[in-house]
Amino acid sequence: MGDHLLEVNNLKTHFRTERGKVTAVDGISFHVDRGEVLAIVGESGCGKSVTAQSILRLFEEKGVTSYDGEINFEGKNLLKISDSEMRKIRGNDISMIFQDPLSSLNPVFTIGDQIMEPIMLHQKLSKKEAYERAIEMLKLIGIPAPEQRVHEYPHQISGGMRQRVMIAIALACQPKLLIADEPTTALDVTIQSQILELIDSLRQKLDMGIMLITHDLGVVAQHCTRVAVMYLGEVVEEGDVESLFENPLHPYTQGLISSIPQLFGNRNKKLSIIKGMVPSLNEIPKGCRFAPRCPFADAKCMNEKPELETLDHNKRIKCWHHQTIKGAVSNAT
Amino acid sequence: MEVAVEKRRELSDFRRDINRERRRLFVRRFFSNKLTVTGSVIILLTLLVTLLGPLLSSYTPYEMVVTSRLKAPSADHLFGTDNLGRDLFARVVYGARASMGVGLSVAIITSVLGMIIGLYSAYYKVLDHVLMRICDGLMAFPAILLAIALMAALGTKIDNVIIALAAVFTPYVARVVRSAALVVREQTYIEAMKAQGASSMRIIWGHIAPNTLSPLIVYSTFIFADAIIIEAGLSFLGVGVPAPDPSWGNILFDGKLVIFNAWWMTFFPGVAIILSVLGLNLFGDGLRDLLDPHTNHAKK
Repeated sequence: MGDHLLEVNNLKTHFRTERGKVTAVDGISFHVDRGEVLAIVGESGCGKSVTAQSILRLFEEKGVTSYDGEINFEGKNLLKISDSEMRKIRGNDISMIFQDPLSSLNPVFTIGDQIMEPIMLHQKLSKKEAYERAIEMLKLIGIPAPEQRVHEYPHQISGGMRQRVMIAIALACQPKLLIADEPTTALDVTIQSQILELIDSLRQKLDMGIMLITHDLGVVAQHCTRVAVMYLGEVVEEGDVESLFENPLHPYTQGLISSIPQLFGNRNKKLSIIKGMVPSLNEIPKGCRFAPRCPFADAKCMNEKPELETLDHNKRIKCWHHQTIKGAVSNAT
Repeated sequence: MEVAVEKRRELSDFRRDINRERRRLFVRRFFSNKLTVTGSVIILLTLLVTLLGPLLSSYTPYEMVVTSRLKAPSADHLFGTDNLGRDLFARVVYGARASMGVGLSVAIITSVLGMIIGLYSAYYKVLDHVLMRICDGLMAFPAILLAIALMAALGTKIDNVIIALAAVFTPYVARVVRSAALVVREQTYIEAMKAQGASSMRIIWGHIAPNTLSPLIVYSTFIFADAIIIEAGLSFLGVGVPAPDPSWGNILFDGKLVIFNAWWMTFFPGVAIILSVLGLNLFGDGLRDLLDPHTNHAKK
């Protein structure tokens, strides 16, 4: 197990709020290998983005945020190293693409300046070399007339273009791990697939590991190798893309998958929904966290916390009834 | 090799063209606003008079001629003479040095100090509490009262006027910078910079500071104007620029005693104060329109 690019063990991220301590990410474990794409899916507010930002230790306000567990990146525990060591890793070994391309670029600098920034910071290149590298990056991500574009400001280019620039910034130092936090949510569908294709081809070229955070299961099916499903700060199911889509074991995963609209099928059939809302982090259920919304829940689910079990084929699941549920679903269909 | 050289030349051409285009646009927008242009012309003239002062007048501001006291404006004495027979034109022109000098120095010093205090208190929460309470304390006093108290403590000297006014106005500038920086601090691009491995120093000075520049520049022109008024007030009250040296404030004070028989002694320094403050305020308003993208869109 020691040879993964990134290995997260029992990570917990706590925030101190006015209403007491809140654990946004509660003991999650997963790993990412070189050249693979791990998808993290789940509803809004389930802790996907917090997980991503915890890996880079972006919450650093003392007394407000605290971390537990281990984040091993190439054998180093990122939670133990000093701030300056962490800064050397950020942007150089691990990069991140943020959700919102419209506000992720500084309005007072040209896009060229912003691509050059991490290059000059980490690679110790001269300004001229960094400039050439920036043009190279813009070419790589398919921006026409890069010599002209480097001098433009973020407000002069479109949203899709800005997201490309964000990718160029993230990839400028050829990171080993790319964390993409819903990189396509703000974009329209055609640009979406272009961006994902681009990330995918760059992954092959640079042999990066990618952690893709999304709630778009279509994207997951197309681009990812493995999936971890998160619910309320926990990983509830993890497995290969094929097995997860064909044979979802956790009732939450089943709910997610059956709520995707089908292109070919009975149009009059209503889309199934997962009833209820994600509970607030202040009132976490005592037993299984999904129990209040789960159609299969019984007394045991309400009172006892299930553990993450490892099944064959690298599949992991956190549910008391996955054996029986599996049968129930295959009988029903 | 040659192709590469050729290409590089083209690149620098590109950059030059783009920059030239940007400058042209800026200049055109600047001149499309008549008030801004009026304001900057007034300021330029005032600065010119301040710098060329000695060349404009054949009299010195200190030379007393007892026989020609309180003479009305004439070809010989353009603005007339004061109660000690000194040429008023020379005194107003030399007074511009004190007023504009104090105003400009105060604007620069408060900008620098206010920027440092504002940026750091926006970035570090603990520091914020300490620095902002100090600022609150200073801002609790009316500006002119605090300035008088400080002058009383420091002693009347032109350097001390600058120090006192800088102390009075810095909290206001710090507040403006801080509020701009607080907005910028929460933007995704600052977090993105952090995710790229930038240090706190780099984030504060390289990325937050440039985003607070435009409100700072605009505000500092108003500080410039306010400083001129307060300096005149201090000199008028006798705690500003000390007596033999001319300043618009102390000329006004001298003129106050003879306001009914020598109107020119209050009129000319008064007009000088009004013009320079008006010019600065017009300029500041225009700059705000020019630098704030929201008002620009509204205009189009």
